[in-house]
Amino acid sequence: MSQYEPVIGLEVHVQLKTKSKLFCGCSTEFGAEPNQNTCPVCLGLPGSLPVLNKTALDLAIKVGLALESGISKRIKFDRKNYFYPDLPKAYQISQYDMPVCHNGHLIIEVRKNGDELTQKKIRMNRAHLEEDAGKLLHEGIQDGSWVDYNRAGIPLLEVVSEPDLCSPEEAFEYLVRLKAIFQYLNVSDCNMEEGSLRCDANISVREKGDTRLGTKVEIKNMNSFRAVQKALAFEFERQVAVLEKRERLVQETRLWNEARGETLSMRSKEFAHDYRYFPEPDLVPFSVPAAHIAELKASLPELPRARYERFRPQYGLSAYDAHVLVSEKALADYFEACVNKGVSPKLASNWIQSELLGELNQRKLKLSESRVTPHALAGLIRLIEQETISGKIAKEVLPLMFETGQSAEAIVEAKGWVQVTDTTLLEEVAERVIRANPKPADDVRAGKKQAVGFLVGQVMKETKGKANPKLINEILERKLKALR
Amino acid sequence: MSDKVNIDQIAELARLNLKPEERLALSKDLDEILAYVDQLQELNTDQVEPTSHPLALENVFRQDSVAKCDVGDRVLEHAPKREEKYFKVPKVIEGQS
Repeated sequence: MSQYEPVIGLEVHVQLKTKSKLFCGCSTEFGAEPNQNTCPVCLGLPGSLPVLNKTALDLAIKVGLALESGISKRIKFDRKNYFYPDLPKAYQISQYDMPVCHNGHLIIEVRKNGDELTQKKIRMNRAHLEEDAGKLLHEGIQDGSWVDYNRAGIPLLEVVSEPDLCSPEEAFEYLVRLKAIFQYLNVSDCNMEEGSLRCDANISVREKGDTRLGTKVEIKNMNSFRAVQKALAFEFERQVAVLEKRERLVQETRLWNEARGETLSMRSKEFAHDYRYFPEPDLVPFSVPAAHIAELKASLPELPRARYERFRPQYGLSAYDAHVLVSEKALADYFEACVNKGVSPKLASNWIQSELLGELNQRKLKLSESRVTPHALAGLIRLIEQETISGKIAKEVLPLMFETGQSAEAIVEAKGWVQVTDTTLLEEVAERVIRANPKPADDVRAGKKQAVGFLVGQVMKETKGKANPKLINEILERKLKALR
Repeated sequence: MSDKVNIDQIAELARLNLKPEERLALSKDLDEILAYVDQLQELNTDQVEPTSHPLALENVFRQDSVAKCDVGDRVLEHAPKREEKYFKVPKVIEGQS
């Protein structure tokens, strides 16, 4: 298997965040009653004419600029013809040879030889605007399918990469980085469950070192980034197995079946993909003035890569931590809001990545739904920094903050969890523990340093975990010498 | 029969069932159209900008605002088949036709 390598290209469809559809004034709101967000234009009724939504074009250009691509001087729309009931017009208005954006790229991090992260440039071939199709429902419907055209005509941007991805992991990484850019630009909700972000993959295999491309297979029907990764891993092995049997691969479209964990052939007919593109006569061509492109460029927010470059020196974070934090805009925003309250960036990064995300995961909540605000988490971290509570107690405080919505201070106060720093009290406990455990005490005196851990544990137990560990160590050391 | 035009493939893509006489007539028409295009191809167009639209217009936009239309139910009433608020079509699952 190791003498083969996969060659992967991805087509990502992202639903652009506009109020109205791409070519008509119908609402793009999700979850409306079936077929209510429709009009003669998106239902393809005779005599209706499409008119381009200016905001959709601006959002597409913003994505292009963020991917450092060229914006075409001449932009034109074309009809892609095919018969399927999700298209009321029997064609989709898309773009063929004059897309909005061309020749961009995206930098991803790949792991080479173990843990080291290196950068890799993934080229983008093009990004074009097109209208979404309607939704078909098949399940549980007798002798037919139902069609809902609310989605028909919603603006999509299709971002097509070059076949520069060399593993399913790289494909996953590319999708994470691309989604982060969409989120930072605020051009889409990026909600995969609602279908506002979809991905099809093209994969072929070849012998390592070969520069020619093998037979390409398109995979569809993946509903998460992990599913894309799994489908590509499966497809790579399937294609290698075919080649090793000295059989020929067929150029085809296959559907990922999540439940079975495999791709299945769609058995498409030979002519099925002759789309007979031709220029859309109902839309005039477009050209974007350079001044408007410059205006859009100036309006771009700080993008993930720039934020990453800023986070590392500004907060002294590791490459890994900085990457995890910037990969989701909401996460990076949360982190910065927390740090702005004056707590240590390193502690904030650790607490957000392990404890906070852990709690949210367990409660099946998104970061935006977190009851614990950045301000509240900073309050908890400050208690640790001031040694009012230990990290161990803090881990018990956080779930209570989620349950009650109270501040860390209030919970620690009410529970009486303030760390014991009363030396007299701790000295009493230490003496008791040493007397009750003569054997470990002697071991420590004899130089077995590890035995002190047991004694610290006993003191912790007596103080119900509230003793300051640094103080216990000091006091135990002193008392062990004194009590011989 | 024409050697340039595969009339059966075109008919299949357009979902047309052609009678034999229609098949012949359309084949002949398409041949003539292609011959005309061949004639056009002979012209030197190096200095001519490609045209994709007959009108000398560009950049016709609409602003992004919602205009409620409310024709959904009336269109549904005219559909040959419907159930609840959906259009109903013969069962079509891509790839299994």
